[in-house]
Amino acid sequence: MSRIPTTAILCVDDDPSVLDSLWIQLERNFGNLHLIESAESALEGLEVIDHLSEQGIGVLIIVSDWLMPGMSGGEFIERVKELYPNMRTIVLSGQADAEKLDDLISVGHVSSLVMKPWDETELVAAINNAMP
Amino acid sequence: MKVEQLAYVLKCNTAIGSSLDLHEMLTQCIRVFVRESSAIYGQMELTADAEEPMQVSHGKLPIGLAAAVGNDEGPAVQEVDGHHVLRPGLRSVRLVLVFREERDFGFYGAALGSLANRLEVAVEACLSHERMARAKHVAEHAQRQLGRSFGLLQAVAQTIDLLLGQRDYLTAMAGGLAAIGKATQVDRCYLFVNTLGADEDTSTTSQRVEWTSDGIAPEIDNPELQGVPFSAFPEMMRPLAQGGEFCELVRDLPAGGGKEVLAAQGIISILALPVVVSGRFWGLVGFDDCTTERIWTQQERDVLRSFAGSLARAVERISAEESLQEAEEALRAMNATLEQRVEQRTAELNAALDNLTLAQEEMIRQEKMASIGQLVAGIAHELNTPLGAINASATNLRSTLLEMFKKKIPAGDMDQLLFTCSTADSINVGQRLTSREERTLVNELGHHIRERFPAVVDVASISRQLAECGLRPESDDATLRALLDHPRNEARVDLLVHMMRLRRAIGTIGMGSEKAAKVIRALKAYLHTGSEEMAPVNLQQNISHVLTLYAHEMRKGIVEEISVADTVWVMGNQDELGQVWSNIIGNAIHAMHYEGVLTIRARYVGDMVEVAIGNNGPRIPEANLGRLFDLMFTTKPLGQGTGIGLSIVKRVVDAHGGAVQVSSDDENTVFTVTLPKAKT
Repeated sequence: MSRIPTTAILCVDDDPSVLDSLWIQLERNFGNLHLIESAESALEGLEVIDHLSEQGIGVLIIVSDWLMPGMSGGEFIERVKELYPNMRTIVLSGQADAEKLDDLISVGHVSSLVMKPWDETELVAAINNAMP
Repeated sequence: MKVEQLAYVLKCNTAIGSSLDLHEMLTQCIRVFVRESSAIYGQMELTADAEEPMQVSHGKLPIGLAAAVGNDEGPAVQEVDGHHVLRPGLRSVRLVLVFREERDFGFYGAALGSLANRLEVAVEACLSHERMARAKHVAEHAQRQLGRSFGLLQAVAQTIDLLLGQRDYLTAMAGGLAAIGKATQVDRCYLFVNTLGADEDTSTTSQRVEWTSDGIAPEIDNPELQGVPFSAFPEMMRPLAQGGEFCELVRDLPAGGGKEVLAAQGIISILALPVVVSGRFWGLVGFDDCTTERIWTQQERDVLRSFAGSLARAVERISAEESLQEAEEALRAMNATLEQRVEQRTAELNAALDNLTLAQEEMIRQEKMASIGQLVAGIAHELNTPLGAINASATNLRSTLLEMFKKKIPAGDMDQLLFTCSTADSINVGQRLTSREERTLVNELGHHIRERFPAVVDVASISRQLAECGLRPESDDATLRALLDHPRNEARVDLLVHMMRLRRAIGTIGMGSEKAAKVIRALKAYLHTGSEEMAPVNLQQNISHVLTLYAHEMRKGIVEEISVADTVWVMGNQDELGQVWSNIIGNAIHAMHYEGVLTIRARYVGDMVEVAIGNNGPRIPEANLGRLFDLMFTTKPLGQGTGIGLSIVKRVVDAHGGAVQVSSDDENTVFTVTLPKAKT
């Protein structure tokens, strides 16, 4: 019987295909250590984080898209950092608003940027680097 | 009467009638008186009606006696400047005789009385004769004068006639000057034509026509009379330039100023008159006398002056005629080439029109490229997103397969593999569950398993795996039983999870490829610069291509409400129409600052299709509404708007025989494009 993890990695992307393939990758690479959670929007992401913390599960890392309808990746990360300053974030984007992203990277809110289409090894390395 | 006395009277009588010349008669008379009366001095004075008092004397009057002669009025003879003269104011015939001794004048008195009467008659006769002679002279002079004037007038008339008939005034003047020269009996007459410059040094005059009388040397070939500066003849040219005349005797001219040149030609007197053409000192006519000092009468000068005027009018008329003729010739030439020129000009205009059309097409193409340039980052994102999913799915396929191969499937368990394959295939892959839904499903499955399948050991893990596969406790009961009732249920579920991941990866690759292909198709359709033909265009497809290109911009916060049936077809050029939608939609997105509702509705209105593209961005100021479709009108900051987009919209829509309108209020801004519907 496997042990239920008490830590999680959260994926946020408005594109279900991206989200699912990303989830499968992370599940395969980190699934035995962490819960791999997914959300299709920033709001859903915040909801998932709340729910997990209620259950005593801490989200270690968020892998988020940058441009999303509703709340953008930048706003989402800022909100998350306000609530959970220790949470690490990685931006996975096809095209990011460089100026805002640079600001977030420079203040340490974003650990790294991975461009779509991404390389699995590169993404896994980025997550490992971001691990507390 | 003594014989002696009678003879004396007769002699006097004879003397009195001897001549019609008054002076001669009086001289003869006084001579006879002195001789016959043995006087030493005689003098006769006649004041009669002669213009001047006429006096004659004979003999010598000794000094001293002169004072003695006279009557009560005083001495008849006075001495003035050493000469003896009769006292002025004497009337009638007075006779003075001076004798040596006293004489009795009794007889002489009577004789002289009759002689006086006689003399009176004789004087009268003399005076009449003189008057007649003078009258005759005057008449003869007048006749000569009249003849000359008449000749002159005739010559002038002849010249004017020649000038009127001739185009070439030089030829006319050659004939005219000959006639005038003969009429005026001058020795030489001529015409000079001026070339006016800035001053007297640069203004010159040249002899062009000349006539000379017999025996006078012509000067027409004299090079000194060609291009003569005015300053060489200031005395003559100055008054002529002022419109006056030059009428002089050469000997009276001051030295220098051309006198020597005139004298060298043998000229004694000269008359020159200006020819003023159109207010300018055009030339001069001159008349030389080489034999006599001629005094030109006022009448002659007037006639010649009027002749110079006629010449000027003729020159004006001829030059006007020449101008007219030139104009006529030019007109004829122009008429001849007009057709050719019209063709040429038409060709030029057509070429210009072609260039303009090319320039416009080029502008439209460039605007299209510019708009793509602005969208290119977003389009890259739209491609990178599905490519990311494809790429990740490809690695997932490989990894999942490798994991499956590592699973040890016991021999004879092939049925297990086949079972999971058919199970995986039968599962309906629906929409991805939200994390909340998934958690609920995991819980439901957990309850279900504990209730129905107590044999399952790791319920939490199995529930999560089944939830990932999308299996539901009630609807998928049969599948769950087949999986969980089997003694190797964990292996079966694990294999199913892998199979489902393969299936999802394959599905993702398919969908991602389709998404990427759609973007590429839209881009290709938008950039397509092939056909310029009008053809039926499917409106929905046409607009959706554009929306695909704007997908990235829209994702930032635009909600789209599209209501365009796929049965709507318009007649048009799909490239150009794509640009119309692109510009209106792009503007709408910018106007809403990437947040708002974009509505697109299409409907048939008669033979037209009306496409209304609305946004709930800020109201367009009234003042800008009218200028919105003007070229180069933009309210965007420098570098963001070209001011070309909407002008292209108008141009394209107009060219399609449609119309574009805009309305804007606080709620909505709507661009309404009407286009002809495609005939089916």
